[in-house]
Amino acid sequence: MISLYRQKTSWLHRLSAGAKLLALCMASVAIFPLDTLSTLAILGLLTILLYASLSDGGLRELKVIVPLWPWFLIMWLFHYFGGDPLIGTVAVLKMALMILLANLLTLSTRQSDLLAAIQYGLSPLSFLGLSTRPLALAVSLMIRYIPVLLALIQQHQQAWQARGGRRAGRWRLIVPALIAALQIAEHAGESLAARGGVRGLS
Amino acid sequence: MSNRSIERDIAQIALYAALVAALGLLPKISIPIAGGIPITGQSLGVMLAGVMLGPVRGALALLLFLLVVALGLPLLAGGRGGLAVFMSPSVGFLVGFPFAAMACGWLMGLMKEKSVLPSAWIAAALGGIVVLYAFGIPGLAWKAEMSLVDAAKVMAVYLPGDALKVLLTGLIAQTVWRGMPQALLSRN
Repeated sequence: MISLYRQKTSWLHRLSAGAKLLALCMASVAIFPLDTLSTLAILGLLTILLYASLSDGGLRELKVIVPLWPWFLIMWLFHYFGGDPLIGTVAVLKMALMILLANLLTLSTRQSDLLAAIQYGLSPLSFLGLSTRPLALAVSLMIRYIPVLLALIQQHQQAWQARGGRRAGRWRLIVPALIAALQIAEHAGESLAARGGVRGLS
Repeated sequence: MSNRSIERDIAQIALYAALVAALGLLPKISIPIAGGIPITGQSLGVMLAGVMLGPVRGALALLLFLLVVALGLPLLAGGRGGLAVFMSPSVGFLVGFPFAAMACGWLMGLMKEKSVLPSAWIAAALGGIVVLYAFGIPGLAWKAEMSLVDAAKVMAVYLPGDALKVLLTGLIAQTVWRGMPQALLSRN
């Protein structure tokens, strides 16, 4: 399954997931109240430098911002017509900054490491009798189901088209695809239980 | 609760979470604001998860979906994912997903005695639109530093699409109910 994790190594990759998560939280809290253009611009430049430090092609990862340009434009326009374009610029910069910083974490952290860090963070919940072990199971099951569902939907689409079905009626395809998928889930549940269930997994 | 039903729960929750993801990965019909808040196919998954699974499992399915997105999979419509999406204007909607599913499921439970189709429509409309937008619009206003009114104006363009999804949710729920009634956990 494709992910946003960047396979190359860098100094950022070597930091622990938990440390990066904590750093991101602190950065969000620190950046939130800022509202001066110059401060945000400097932080923005620092962030770009961080991306550049990610070994070859690090700057290309800045493209994560690009699909959001309509939103930045709308935000800015509302402020412009409201009479305060400066606040609009500040708002856009702040959001872009936070998105870029959060993306740095996603780029440099494996899902499994991040999941482990989150499970560790949630471990105090065991006082309430909740275990975090089902979490990893649920995550891997979900990830495995996604291509299955896509394939089921596509199969039904092709069968529908082969029979000359109209495009408007296509929604009905979700139903047999969903039922087939539910049956797969039913079997998955049963075989999991047969293997000792969630409690049997270490 | 026996071992067996926990595994069954996990499998079904994972399945609906995957459905929300799959709906985001399918090519979407043209939407006026390209690259905007891409919640197009996905809120259908939110409504279905709530209507089919009930409030608790439906909410868990959406929480699982959000977790996997946070872990770095590009499952949000438009191929977006990772922690960055929680810093974007659509964060209100993302946070609202589990609540919307919970509302859909709770309403379905309330209307257990009524027939499936209208109950599903009501549940999907109140949960998937009213509750979801109750989170999404303030979230947008806060994140984008806009007024609530402006944020509402921006999101109004998505209402027709969402009304269509409510329609679909009811029809799907009813059709599944006829073929496989035990799949409608919200009623059993």
